[in-house]
Amino acid sequence: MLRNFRGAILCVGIVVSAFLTGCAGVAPNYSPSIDNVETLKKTGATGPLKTGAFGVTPGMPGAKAISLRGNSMASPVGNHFGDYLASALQQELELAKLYNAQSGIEVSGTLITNNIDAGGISTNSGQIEARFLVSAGGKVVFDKVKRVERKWESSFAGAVAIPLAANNYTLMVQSLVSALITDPDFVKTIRN
Amino acid sequence: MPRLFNSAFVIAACIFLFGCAHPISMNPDLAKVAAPAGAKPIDKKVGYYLPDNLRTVEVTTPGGGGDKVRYFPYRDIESGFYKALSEVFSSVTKVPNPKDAAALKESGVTLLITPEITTTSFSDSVFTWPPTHFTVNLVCTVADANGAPLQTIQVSGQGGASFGEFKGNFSLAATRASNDALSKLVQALGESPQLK
Repeated sequence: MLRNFRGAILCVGIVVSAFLTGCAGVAPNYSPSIDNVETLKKTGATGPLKTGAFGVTPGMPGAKAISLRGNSMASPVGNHFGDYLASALQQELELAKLYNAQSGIEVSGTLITNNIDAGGISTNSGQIEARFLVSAGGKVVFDKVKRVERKWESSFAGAVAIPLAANNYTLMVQSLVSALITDPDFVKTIRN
Repeated sequence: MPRLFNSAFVIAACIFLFGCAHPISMNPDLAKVAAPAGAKPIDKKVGYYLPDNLRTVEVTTPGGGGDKVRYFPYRDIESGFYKALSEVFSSVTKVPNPKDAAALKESGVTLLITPEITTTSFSDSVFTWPPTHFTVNLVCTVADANGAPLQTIQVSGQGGASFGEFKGNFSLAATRASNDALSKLVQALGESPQLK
């Protein structure tokens, strides 16, 4: 009886390990989307832009770390994921040669939602929502909220599901940047 | 019977745990892909060709403890490749069709670069799966706008990461190998007399 109980405990331990293994750490380095870069080049922007501060909504879950099956994933840059988004946008602009820290046109914003549901055993999903502001000469000329969602195939094993979720976070941020730079009002704003 | 059930369960769990392919990323740190200070870009517009089907190619190579790692070499390294070319040449663009000489000329592309990536990885640990050593081999075939070959440039990037380093970033060895390969590419392209 005792032997069976020990065996059962061992089995539960192995399964729990399989589900949770992966520990946490930081999100992958942001990798700019070349499609975004080429889109930015074709916007006909009259001059370079700069990125300002991207804050996070006070009390928002996922601001500083996203929980992935009990492990946490933090931003590799700055203090929170608003800084990750700012860095992402800056890298896209730099590759498109549209970034200048001295520019009078600034893109800033606030992260509103930053979430990954990594608990599913077959599929996982994530959502990011941010408010983007463009200001020129201190005056706000663009103010819109953009939201993207992403789903991906996942796994029962945490050692697979957790890194997969982390890798998909970068792709989700690429999509959020794409939603901004393909907005006709944003394009019109940076052309003026 | 309960003992048989328990044994079968443990074996199944072990099969489930070991030998799986863990996803990692080869995304480089773009800040580390840079031309030497003071280097002037070559005043040429280059195009690079990367077929869409290569971006979706996922490869699997060895990790530690009998496990493997899987990643998308072309998708992950593309932004770093773009940055490397941007550091050397004045203008860079993605080319949809390398055989359309008329379109290349119209867009002002004078050099066409086609990259080929191969990777290797391994770990000297039997207890942890992230690779402790990673290699990125980058072969770039350079042609003129008419498709005539000019040069082939080969670089190899190495990346290592110990347990103390990669426990917060399982992709660290791969990232370091990408950084190294792309930095060497910047140097090789910049030093090539045939491309000036």
